[in-house]
Amino acid sequence: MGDHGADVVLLESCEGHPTRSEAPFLDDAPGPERSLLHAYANANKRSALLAPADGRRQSLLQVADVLVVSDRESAEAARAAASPAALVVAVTPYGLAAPEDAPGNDLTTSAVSGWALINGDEGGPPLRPTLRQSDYLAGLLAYTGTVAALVEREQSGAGQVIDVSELEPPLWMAAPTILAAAQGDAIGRGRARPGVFSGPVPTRDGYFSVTFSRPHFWTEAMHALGLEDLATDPRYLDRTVRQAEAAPLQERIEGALAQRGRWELFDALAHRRATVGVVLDMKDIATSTHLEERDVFSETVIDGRPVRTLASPCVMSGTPWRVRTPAPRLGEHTDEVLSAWLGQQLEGTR
Amino acid sequence: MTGPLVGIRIITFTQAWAGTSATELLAFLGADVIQIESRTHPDIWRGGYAGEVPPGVRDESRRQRKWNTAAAYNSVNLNKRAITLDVADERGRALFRRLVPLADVIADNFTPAVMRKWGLDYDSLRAIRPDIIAASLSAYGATGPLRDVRGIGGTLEPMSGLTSLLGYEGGRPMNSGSMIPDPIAGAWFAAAIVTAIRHRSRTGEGQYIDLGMMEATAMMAGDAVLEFTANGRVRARTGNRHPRIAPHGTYEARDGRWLALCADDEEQWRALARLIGDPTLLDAARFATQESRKLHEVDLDARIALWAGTQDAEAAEVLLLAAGVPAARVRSREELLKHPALLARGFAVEVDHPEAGRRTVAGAPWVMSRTQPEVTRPAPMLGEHSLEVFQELLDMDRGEYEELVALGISGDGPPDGQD
Repeated sequence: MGDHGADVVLLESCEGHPTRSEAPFLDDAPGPERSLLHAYANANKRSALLAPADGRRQSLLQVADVLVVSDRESAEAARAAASPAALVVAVTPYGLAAPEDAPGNDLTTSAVSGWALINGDEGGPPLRPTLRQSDYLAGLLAYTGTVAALVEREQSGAGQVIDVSELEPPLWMAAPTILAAAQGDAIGRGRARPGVFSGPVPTRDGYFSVTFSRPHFWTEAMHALGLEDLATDPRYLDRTVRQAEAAPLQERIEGALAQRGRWELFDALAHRRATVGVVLDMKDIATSTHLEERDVFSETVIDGRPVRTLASPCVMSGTPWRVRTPAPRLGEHTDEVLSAWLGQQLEGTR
Repeated sequence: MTGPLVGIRIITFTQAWAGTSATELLAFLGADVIQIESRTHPDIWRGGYAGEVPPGVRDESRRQRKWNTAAAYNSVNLNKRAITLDVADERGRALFRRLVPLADVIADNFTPAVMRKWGLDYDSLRAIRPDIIAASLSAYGATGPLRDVRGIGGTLEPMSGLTSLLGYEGGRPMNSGSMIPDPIAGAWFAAAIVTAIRHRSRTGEGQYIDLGMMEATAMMAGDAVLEFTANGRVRARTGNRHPRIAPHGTYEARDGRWLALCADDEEQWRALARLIGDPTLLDAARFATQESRKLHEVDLDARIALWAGTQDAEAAEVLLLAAGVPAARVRSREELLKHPALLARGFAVEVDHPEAGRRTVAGAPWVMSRTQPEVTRPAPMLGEHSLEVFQELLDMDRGEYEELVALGISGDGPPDGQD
């Protein structure tokens, strides 16, 4: 919301927003202004520092268009204080409408939603998705629902409660797996043995992924790798035949891939319209000329240091995503916010 | 329909998963989403015309065609209407141009050249409707050096950086078990479209959205990218471990099932330690603080694994949650929609598909107090709503429709009419 110009105020108390204490930190030195997660997730916001008992908190809640909370208690407080036209948005582990509250986070969500079940090696421990995908997805869907409700509010003038469970976005992302299981259809990779048929494999200078989901992807990839007998044998267009002969096929394909560089392979296979991918690490992403040309990056500031950050998930010709201001220092805008949002009331109490 | 976007109409060429998941979200929110397929190129997630109806859905009491029964398609197209209209044919394009003034959003997930080739790019669309929102999703976006490269979830996961981060500690990089960039990019695509709808409702201006799945998926790794740009360090794969919290992992129970658990603060840690019943956990200095537990997490994990090995996963989950410890047993596929929270919230819903039958599916991921999004219809069958949409929007009579069917521009089933 901040990216698109809303005046977003992070209402904090002395301990600060929880992301401020999440590692990693700038130069690995902890501090409320040095968390990289805070820097990423709280850009384009202002910070107002008010003690929980400060009555001005309540006044701010009363004049907000949207109140975003992440636990049941805060949701109740927000509902009690909000104006009838306000949207109260709650993003909680199991949702306000669930019969019981329970502690949870990205790890437990991955266990309940099935992603831990389908990630990882066959026979190995279940593996949660990387980073905080349930959190981000829940936030993103909360954003989408909220903006849709703002559109509707322009007509009705009425507010409402938008209740997002962190469990549901990853389950929505598992919808094909769920219905396939119910119908007995084969879909997705699921947990698998390592190898070129299930994921990335080594090249001379890094890892590389090839997909064979359509018959011509197989043919083109085999041509590009110089494995002509595999390219021209029509039996191998059938996935079940490839699976039956997986071990010797893997050995040959992986052997061919291992002799070449990852970008050399990408150029050769992508040119043939095979679908392939280089395993890019965070340095590769941060220095990607493609992403640079797509204007994906912005500069932000972390504890006084300018740093490049991801800022734009897509190009929008009329309302571009931008980092306009860095994540706020704790309480940086308290007076400014109180004056801007409650100016009349403050003057009245002086 | 119900939901806050009632009154918004979206005409979409999206197929497979990424763009499709976006338009499904908007359909959940109440938009009238009309998917365009052609009989020569039905949505690839219908699985093609050849082959049999999946054994799990065979039902002799229903007319069943394979392309209307695929779990992949039917799981991600709820609440939509589907028409067939062959826009590769100029007559089909002419008809499409008559639909454009009646649409708020035109969405596609073609490679960037396709809409241009058909004369349906943003400039052409806004010449017909100046405030149109044209939303295009592709592997790498319409600009940049990779713009013409094809990609799917399995290749965009490595290209977005996520694969480099997924894997066991010290192990090789992995792709996720189901092409996760598709719904991630789809969620961003829906967010961008709804943002454009809001902007248009305030200003009257349409716009062009050009989403590359690579960049949208990379947004999920924003703090890890900062770790490189700020600290110069490339994040390694850490399995189930967390940068701050220990314990934080999955542990095998006595019954062979797995249990995920963590302790995010001192209260949760004490509750977990008491439950495990190992006095050395609470007394030992090396487990006294979050920092020291993180430092000694290998030892800690070994002790928790020992305890988990004496428990049944389901019973342990109950005990842990009752004690206030974040925990969950790893669900099997069959259990995924059975959590009481999902049933209570109406997320797990039953739909009755005319050909695939009655199933419980994942529904709308919001509860709204006044404009509740609901699943109002199953995924559409190929061409199911062609006549309905043409009559409703273009006032077309049945004779004109039959002519389109005879020409192969609309209708249902394989182009040769064999089903």
